[in-house]
Amino acid sequence: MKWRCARSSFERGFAAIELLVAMAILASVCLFAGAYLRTIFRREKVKASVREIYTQVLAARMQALRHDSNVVLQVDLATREMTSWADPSAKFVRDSAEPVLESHRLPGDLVFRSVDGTINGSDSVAFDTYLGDSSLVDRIVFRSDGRLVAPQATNSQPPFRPVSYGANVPPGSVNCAPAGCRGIFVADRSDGGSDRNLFRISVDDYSRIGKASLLKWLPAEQGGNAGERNFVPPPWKWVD
Amino acid sequence: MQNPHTPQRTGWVILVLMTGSNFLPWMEPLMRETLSFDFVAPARVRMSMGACLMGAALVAFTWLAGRHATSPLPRRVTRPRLLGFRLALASGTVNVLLGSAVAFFGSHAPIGGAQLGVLVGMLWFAFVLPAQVISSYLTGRGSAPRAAATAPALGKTLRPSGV
Repeated sequence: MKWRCARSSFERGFAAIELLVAMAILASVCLFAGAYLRTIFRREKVKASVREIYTQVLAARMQALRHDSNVVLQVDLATREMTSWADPSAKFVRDSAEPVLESHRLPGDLVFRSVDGTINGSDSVAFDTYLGDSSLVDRIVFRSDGRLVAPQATNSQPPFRPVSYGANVPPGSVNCAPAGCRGIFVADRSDGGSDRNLFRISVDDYSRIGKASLLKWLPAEQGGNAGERNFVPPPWKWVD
Repeated sequence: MQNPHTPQRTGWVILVLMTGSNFLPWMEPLMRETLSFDFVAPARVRMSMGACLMGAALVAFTWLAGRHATSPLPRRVTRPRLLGFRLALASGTVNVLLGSAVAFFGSHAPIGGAQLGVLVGMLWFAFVLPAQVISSYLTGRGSAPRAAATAPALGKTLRPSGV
């Protein structure tokens, strides 16, 4: 009898209200999953693009050690390409005798823009002026021993140390001068202000051994030191 | 006869909130990992999503099973709907606590020789998920009007629509 009742109950099928509830559960799962996954994938995508540039910087330094020669990594914002070549002549300009070691397209989802600069502006890739020649811009030069050839432009100087360290500005953070500091500055959105995720890839923040760094801008509104332009290591605060 | 003032259309809210709270202990560790330099492992995303989807599917199916079940409940369970609500509340609270713990300390934080994320996962599978299954079954049992069988005798037709 019980079995017959149960059977007849299922045979009647589901009431509309039951389907509605099942749909509501499904919708809530989609809503929560969508919200979380969207944020996670978006952050991971930006991180992957930024790390791609960072990896090219590391690879250029490795090539310098491997080839026992100067290696130049040039960032061409017009063609959106990164090209590296061995430069034994130390002119920092590629001639026909210097074959390209690596060439990569710059990630299309990133915008090159410094804190106060313009899109693809002169401060976006602040590795400018070598050998007193201000036309030699947007290139990182590693010596054969892996050390950096320091760029000479005002906007390409190493950063300062933050005045104070804390939970938001941990050791390893830097403070860029208002005139700018050396680095490749990439953001995930084109509008200025603090409502964006801005990363800085650079070399030799404090050291002189060619150490590359990947830091994220932390505006004062988000916990950075007041009056400073801090770039901090992970864990990063994201602007979603 | 049902009391017309008894809230009978809140069951779906309980179910939705319960399944929604499952995302806290499973997805917050992933959110925390996005703050680091390293990538989130795809296996972890699959594991977290799988657990949340499985929890939602189990809740929906056991609720439906509860609605259509005809076997008698234990005598001690006099008010299945209320008990289901309490269990849902408890599991939701535990989810919030577990999610807050992994969001604050990180899933790799060592707790008694094990990682916090592993412990949270074990606790969820051992206690939270079973509690949710029981809760949704009891909510289903409590929300389906059992008077359907006696209704013809009263000359009324009750649809199993109380949710």
